[in-house]
Amino acid sequence: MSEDDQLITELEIQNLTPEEQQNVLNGLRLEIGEALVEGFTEAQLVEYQAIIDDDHEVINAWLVANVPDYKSTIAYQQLAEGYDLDPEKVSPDKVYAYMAWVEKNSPELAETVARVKAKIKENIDSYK
Amino acid sequence: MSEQEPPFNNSTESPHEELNELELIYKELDQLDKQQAILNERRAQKIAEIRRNETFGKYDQHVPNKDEDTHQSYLNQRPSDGVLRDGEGFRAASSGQYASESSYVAQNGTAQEHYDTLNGIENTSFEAPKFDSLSLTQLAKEAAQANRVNDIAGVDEIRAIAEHTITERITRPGYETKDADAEQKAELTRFDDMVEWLSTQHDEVAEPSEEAVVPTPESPVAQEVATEGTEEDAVVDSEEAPVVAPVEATEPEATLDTPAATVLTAADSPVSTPRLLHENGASPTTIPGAHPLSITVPSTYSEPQSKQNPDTIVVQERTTNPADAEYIPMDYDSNQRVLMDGKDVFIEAYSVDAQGHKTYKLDTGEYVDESALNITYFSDLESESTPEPEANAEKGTLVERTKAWFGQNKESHKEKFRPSYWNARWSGLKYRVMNHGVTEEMSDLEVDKKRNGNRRKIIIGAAAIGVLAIGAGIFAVSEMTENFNPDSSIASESPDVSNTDGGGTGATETPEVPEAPTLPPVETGPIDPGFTPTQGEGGYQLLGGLGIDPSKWDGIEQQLKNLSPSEFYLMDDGHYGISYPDRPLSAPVRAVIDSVR
Repeated sequence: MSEDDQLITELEIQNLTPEEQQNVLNGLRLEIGEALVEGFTEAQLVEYQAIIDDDHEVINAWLVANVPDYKSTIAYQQLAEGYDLDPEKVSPDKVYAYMAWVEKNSPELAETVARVKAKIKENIDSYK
Repeated sequence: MSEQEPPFNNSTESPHEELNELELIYKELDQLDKQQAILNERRAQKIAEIRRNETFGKYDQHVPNKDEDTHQSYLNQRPSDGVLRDGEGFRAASSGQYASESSYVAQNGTAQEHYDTLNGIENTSFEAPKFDSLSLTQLAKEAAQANRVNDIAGVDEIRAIAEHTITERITRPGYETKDADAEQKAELTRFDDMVEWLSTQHDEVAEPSEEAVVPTPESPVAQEVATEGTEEDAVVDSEEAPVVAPVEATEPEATLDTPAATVLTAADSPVSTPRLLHENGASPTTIPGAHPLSITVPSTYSEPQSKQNPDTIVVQERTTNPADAEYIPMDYDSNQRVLMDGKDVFIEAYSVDAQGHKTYKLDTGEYVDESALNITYFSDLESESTPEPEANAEKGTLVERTKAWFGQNKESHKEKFRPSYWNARWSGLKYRVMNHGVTEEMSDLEVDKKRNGNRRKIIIGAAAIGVLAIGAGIFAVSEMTENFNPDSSIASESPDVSNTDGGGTGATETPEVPEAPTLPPVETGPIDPGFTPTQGEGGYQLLGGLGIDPSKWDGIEQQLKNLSPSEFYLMDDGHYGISYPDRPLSAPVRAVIDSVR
């Protein structure tokens, strides 16, 4: 089951149209992001913005400092697979860093995600 | 111009300044008008929302009828309602239409009679459970049920008995422990965790969901069963809980010699209730440590199956002693745990006779003929309910799970860095979330700023969901490191795609990836199974299981949380718990734990 399918099942929105489902899922991501951003400093936000904007210097510096053996991780290797065939050449360094950064910088990650999920689910349920 | 100011104008400001002031006042008035309009609009929206919710009953209060606070108590007063067993199937009592087994199970909550009685509903057949004769799992289930009906006194009573049982176990002659207090505390915590978990599980079981009805093998119940089914059974049931619950013959005229069938009725959930004792194929007379249990052996049993007790297991009488047959041990992982007529049991071994009939030897010592039962293998349920890659992922190592997860989801995460993804979403009205907070009054600059903020939040949210799904997998080092040669030129060769996925600073030149510092040794050997916490296991139990003084958890929990935030979570008591049971802890976390050995 893909991540989206899993979330759709978890939030019990299987009966919505795919478009509506995507809106709910993006709403979930937005709210999780909103909640997590509250805990970041301005400097952290600038760093993350640089990572997702593909600033290689920042990405490399962050990876070397925080996950020095990132190229040995299974996650990175999976992301690097098929890079040659990707016409848009989405950098695996960036995608890896975008996830690892959140993991490293969000001490309340699990609690926050669970809280937002519960809130969204409650909202959905109230309109059923 | 007179030196004296005209009486109608005592302002010292120049006409030009006065004009500016007036303009400012009008501007302010305009803004206030706008604000008022916005507030009026919001007010109207709120009123509409309240009316809509009222219309759809959102604020309605639902109060159950007197003495109908459980579904079973409701059904007791409406014999024509509910779901009845009809042979192998289930039917709605009122319509006669087929119903699901889960609906049937949901309405027949374990030991429901007990709580019917607690709630003042007359039930003459009820006999109070003998708590002091129950195993810890059974006590946990009883406590969970008491918890559900807010029977605080009942929970306290059961917990006290559990504590006593644990104390007896730890202090019995011949039992060696380095730190009895810590062990007792750990055991009690485990018991509390199990009660909490079981309370939650029941809520799920009450829903007509197949998944909820079937406990997962990782659950504390399964863990407890696995323990109790082995050496614990011998210790707890035969030595520590010597109370013998007499068997009630509910059909007194029946004889044990009758060849037709033996009907055995368990009053409690099958998970841990000592069910049947047919060690040698003969009929039992007593059940050590048993919950109230009745055995009916009718000579001419003709009652329709639909009227049988739902907790009934039918055991075919055999002409030969089943214990004499040669038994082949079952494969624990795939086949040992099964549902028999909806009941959760463990098969220890099986034999096949000359006619090809299988007889199962259960962990309780009883023998069951295959043809007598509907058997569902848990392994089948798992493979039906979970798509293949994830089913494997659950069973595999952290590396395998991570691989499987990225195999399925990496494209959706990469997609968020493709220009096409955002371009379509900025412009399309259907993706309204992307334009969250964007209004018509905003300037282009403000809109861009807002959208970029939304994009960053959505990306953070997506990363958070992904990272949580794989847990420590994001940092898991491949076992194939030696052979893997990630294209080291990727970073240097990758074209500049900055600013293509939604704007940003973007670098114009891709620097070389600096040489990584000396890599830590890659762990290739097997991970100590003690580093894989089980469901409900806390830090104390984890350390205890590794042979480390559990109290050392207090000294390292904060360090572990800082090291790997997602692997731990803050519990109500201020300590950190383990986020992902049944997943090995990450290598850095294991290293810290090893350091306090």
